[in-house]
Amino acid sequence: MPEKSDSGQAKRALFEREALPHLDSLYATALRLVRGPDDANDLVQDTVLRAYRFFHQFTPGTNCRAWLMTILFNTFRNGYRRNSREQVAASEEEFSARIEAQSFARDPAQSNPEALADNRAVEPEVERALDALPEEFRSALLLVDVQEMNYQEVSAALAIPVGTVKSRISRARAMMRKALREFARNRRQ
Amino acid sequence: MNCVEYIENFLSAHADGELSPADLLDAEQHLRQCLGCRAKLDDERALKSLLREHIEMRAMPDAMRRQLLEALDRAAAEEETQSAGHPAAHQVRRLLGRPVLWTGLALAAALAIVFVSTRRFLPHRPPVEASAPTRDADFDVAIAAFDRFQREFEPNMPSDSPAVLSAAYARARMPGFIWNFSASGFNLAGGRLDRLPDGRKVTYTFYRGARNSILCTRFKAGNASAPAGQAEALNGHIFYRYRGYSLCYTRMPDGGFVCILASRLPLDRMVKAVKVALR
Ligand SMILES: [Zn+2]
Repeated sequence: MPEKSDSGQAKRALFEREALPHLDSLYATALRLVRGPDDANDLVQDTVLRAYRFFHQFTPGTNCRAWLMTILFNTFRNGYRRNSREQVAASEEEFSARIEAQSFARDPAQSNPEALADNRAVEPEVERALDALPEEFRSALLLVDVQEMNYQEVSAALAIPVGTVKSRISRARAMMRKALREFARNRRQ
Repeated sequence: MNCVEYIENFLSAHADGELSPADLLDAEQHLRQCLGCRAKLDDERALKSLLREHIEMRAMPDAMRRQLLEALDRAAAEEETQSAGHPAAHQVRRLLGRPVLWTGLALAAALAIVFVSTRRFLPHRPPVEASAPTRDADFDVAIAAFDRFQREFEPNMPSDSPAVLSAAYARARMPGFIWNFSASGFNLAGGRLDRLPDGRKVTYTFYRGARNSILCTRFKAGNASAPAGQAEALNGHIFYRYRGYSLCYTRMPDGGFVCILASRLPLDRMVKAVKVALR
C-alpha cells in the first residue's frame, strides 16, 4: 500500500499545531467584522483554506496568529466587505450621532445605579461601543487590544503604514471613551 | 515635551509599549513632572484592559469547526493528489494513462488507493489542543520572558497595587495570586497579560529588587506531573537550576495553570524568598 507523502503529512501536522489553535481568535474577530455567525463561518473557512494553501510562506517561530489575521483581513477586504455589519458607522460624525441615539434608546430594566459597581454590567456596552466604531478603527483596536498584536503586525494585517495604525488606535480609543461616557451618563439618569 | 504633544503623539503608543527607546525616555521624563498625563496613561491602560476583558473570545461552534476541518481535509487531499511526488497520485495517473489496463479492476484499485490514502488523512481527531509542552519548553518560556522584562518591563494590566492587579487577572480568568516578596527586598513592578505564540494566555508579574528581579509567569500547561531534575522541593513548590537561572515551578490547584518563578538569584536565596513569602 503506498504511503501518503511525508511532506504532505508533515505540512498537515505542522498546520494543525501552528494554525488550528487560533480558530477561536479568527472566529471572534470575524464575528466583529461581518454580519452574523454564518458569514463569520464563511470568512474563517476561506481564511483557513487560503492559509493552508500558502502555509509554505509562514515562517515557523513567528507569530502564527498575526499571520492568520493578515490573511483574514485580506480575505475580508477582497469580497466580504459588502457583507460587513450593517450597524456600522462610516465616519466619526455618524459614529457620534449613533452613539447618542443608542444611549437614549436603552433598555430601562438595565438602568439601575447599582449596576455601575458591577463590572459585568459594562460588558454589553463595551461590545456595543466597539461595534459602533467605523470599521477601520474597530479593526485596528481589535487587533491591538483584543488580539494583542503589535503595530508592525497590525500594519501588515490591515495593509496600512505603521503611522496610520498609531493614529487610528489613538482616535479609536477617543471614540470608545466618548461612547462609554455617553452610555454611563445615560445609565445614571 | 508638553501635555498636548504627549497626549496626541505618545500616549497611545506608550500604553501599547510601542515607543522607541528614545521616545520612551522623553515620555517618562514628562510623566515624572506631570500628574495629569500620568493619569491619562493609567486611563488608557484601563481602557485596553476593559476591551481585552469584555470582548468575549467567542469559541467557534463545534458544528462549524467540524465543517471547517472537513473542508481542510478535502483541500489537503486534493493538494496531495495533485502533487507529483505523491506515490498514490503516480499510480493513479499511470493506471489512467494506460488504456489497456483501464479495466474495472484497475479503476477500482486506483480508487481504493486514493480512498485509502484519503482515509488515512482523516484521523478521527479530538478537539484541537496545544501540543503537550515539555519541561524545557515551559521553562524556556519563563526565562525568555525574564530576559526580555529584565531589560524593560512595561505593565499592560492595572498594577497600582497587588489587590488591583489580582482583580484584573481574575477578570481575565487567570490566576489572581500575587506573591509578596517585599520582605526579601522585591517589590511589585506590575503585571502583563499576553499570549504565547500558540495563542495560550499568559500573565507576567514582575518584582524588582535593588540588584535582582523575579518574574512570575503563568499559563495553562498540558503535562500534569512536575518536570524532572528538581534541586529542591517545598510544599509543592519545586526548585530547579536551569541554564543559569533559578526557577520555582508550581502547579496551581485549579485550571491546569503552572506558575514559574524565574530569577538570576542563587538558588538558596530564591528558596528563601519563596519560603518567606509563604509564611
Ligand atoms: Zn502632561
